[in-house]
Amino acid sequence: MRPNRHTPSPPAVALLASLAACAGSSGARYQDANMDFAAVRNVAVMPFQNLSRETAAGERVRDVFSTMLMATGAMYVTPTGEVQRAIAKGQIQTPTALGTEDVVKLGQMLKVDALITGVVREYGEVRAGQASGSVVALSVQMVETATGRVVWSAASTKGGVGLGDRLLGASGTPMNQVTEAAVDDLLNKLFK
Amino acid sequence: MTSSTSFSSRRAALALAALALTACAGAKAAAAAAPAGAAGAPEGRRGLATRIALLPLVNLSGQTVSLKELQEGLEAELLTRGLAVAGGGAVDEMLARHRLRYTGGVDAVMARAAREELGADALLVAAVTLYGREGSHGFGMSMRLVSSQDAPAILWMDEAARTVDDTPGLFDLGIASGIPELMREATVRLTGSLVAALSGSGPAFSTCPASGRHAPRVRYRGAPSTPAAHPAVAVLPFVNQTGRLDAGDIVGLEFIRELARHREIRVYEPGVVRSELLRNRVVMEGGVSHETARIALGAFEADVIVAGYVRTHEESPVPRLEFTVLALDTRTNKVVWTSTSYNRGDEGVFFFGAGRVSTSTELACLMVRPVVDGMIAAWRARSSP
Repeated sequence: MRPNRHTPSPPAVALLASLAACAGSSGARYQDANMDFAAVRNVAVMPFQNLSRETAAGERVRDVFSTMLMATGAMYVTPTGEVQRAIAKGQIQTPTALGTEDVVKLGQMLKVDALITGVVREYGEVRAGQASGSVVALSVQMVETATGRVVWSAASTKGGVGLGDRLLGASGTPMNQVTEAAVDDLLNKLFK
Repeated sequence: MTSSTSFSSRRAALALAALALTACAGAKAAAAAAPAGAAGAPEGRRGLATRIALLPLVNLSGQTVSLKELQEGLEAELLTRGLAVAGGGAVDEMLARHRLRYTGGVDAVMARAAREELGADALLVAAVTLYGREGSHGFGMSMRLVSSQDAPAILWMDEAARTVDDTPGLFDLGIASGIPELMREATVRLTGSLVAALSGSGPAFSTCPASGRHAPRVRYRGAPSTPAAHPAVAVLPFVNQTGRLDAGDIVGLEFIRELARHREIRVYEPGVVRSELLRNRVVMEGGVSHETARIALGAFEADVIVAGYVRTHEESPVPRLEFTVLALDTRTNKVVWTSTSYNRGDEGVFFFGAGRVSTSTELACLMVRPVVDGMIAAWRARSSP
């Protein structure tokens, strides 16, 4: 019997399944419809909570996020040292998970319109057979300092073992480039 | 602005030192014969300010290094090249008298003491930046000449670093026998560079080739609010977030040398910056803050402060370096540059190891240059009419 023209062949199915499995997820997004984001000119990026095994992952991702956000020219990002000083001066116990009072207090101390908080859920190398690749998964929130409300939230996952890596046994894209791709994805969601 | 640290005074001091070198060139034998610590030009020529005080070496390599042996070798080489050197016991006594322990930089107290007590018109600061016993053995050293004025200025700065098998050449004839040979090579090269700079035949500040591959991938750049013709820049200590000791100091030195290379920039001697930070009890635990900027402006009138974080600094199996740098305008407290750089020594190397960067020192130079060039391009654009 002649096969149906619309039924993909088994190799094509395998290829599509591999691609679907390897592609980075662009993640979800929430944006407050009533918020005027054009009014947000100064922000402070708080230390990111690190749930990965890499000890410095939170600082690395925060650093890339701060620089790339500033490079957009849309917002001014307060220097990390100044944020650290405000955290110490304001006696904020858990700067990675802020309560409403802390947000308002930090907003007044740093003179910023919003705070950015984040969670690095995954950061490191993943293996699939002989191939390996870098993967980053992070979630970021923007909290308005005047009210302490979350006005924007998004998540992104990038990297992993691609088809080319599987076929060639390559080590994949460097960690820094994967981080940049994830942050770029998040910024696209912020400015969309 | 502190006028004594201006570019014109730096040139004047360099010219004076060059004159001194010319004057004492004939006194090579006499200088070599003089006892350690008291070596100098003949009495009749001392009025020309002919002496360099060699400070005890600083170890930034994170490894145990026989500094005494290296110091003796360096002092002997300087004397051989005809320079009038105050070193060894005389410098140690001067440091002890003034209770000066830090020899990685020159502050006003040290400069005055060297000038008045040793008759030195400049101080030579040397630091071992690489002493690798893992993988390919390597050695690196950074040196700078600082004037003994009340506001010390950097007159010359250079560095040398290599591993034993950097340039194997035909039949591996270029492979060095070990670290002692690399030490000798570095000493000879750096003292040669110093003499060339003093005599006017070589550059005062060396650099490495410009490399687009080592430029930061993520960056933001602005311009100082009040552009000066010769902006004064203070490089603050970089926060070291690596497991390697003193990695922040090494990257900081690279920025100082690269900034000082640009004639329109006035760079503060790190010893002066350190002294002011200590005097004002500034602790930069989490990095540079607005308070640091205010102090830098108030204490030594810096227009811009440069600081950052070093996150990766590895030598073996392949040099890897990652740092973030941030420049802050002290008058507005605004960030005028921020970038993150990450590179490996084997990037873009495909055949026979051609183009491989063998030491983290060389990698740092390649990575810092595009950052500084980018910063200065932004400042130039703002200051031009």
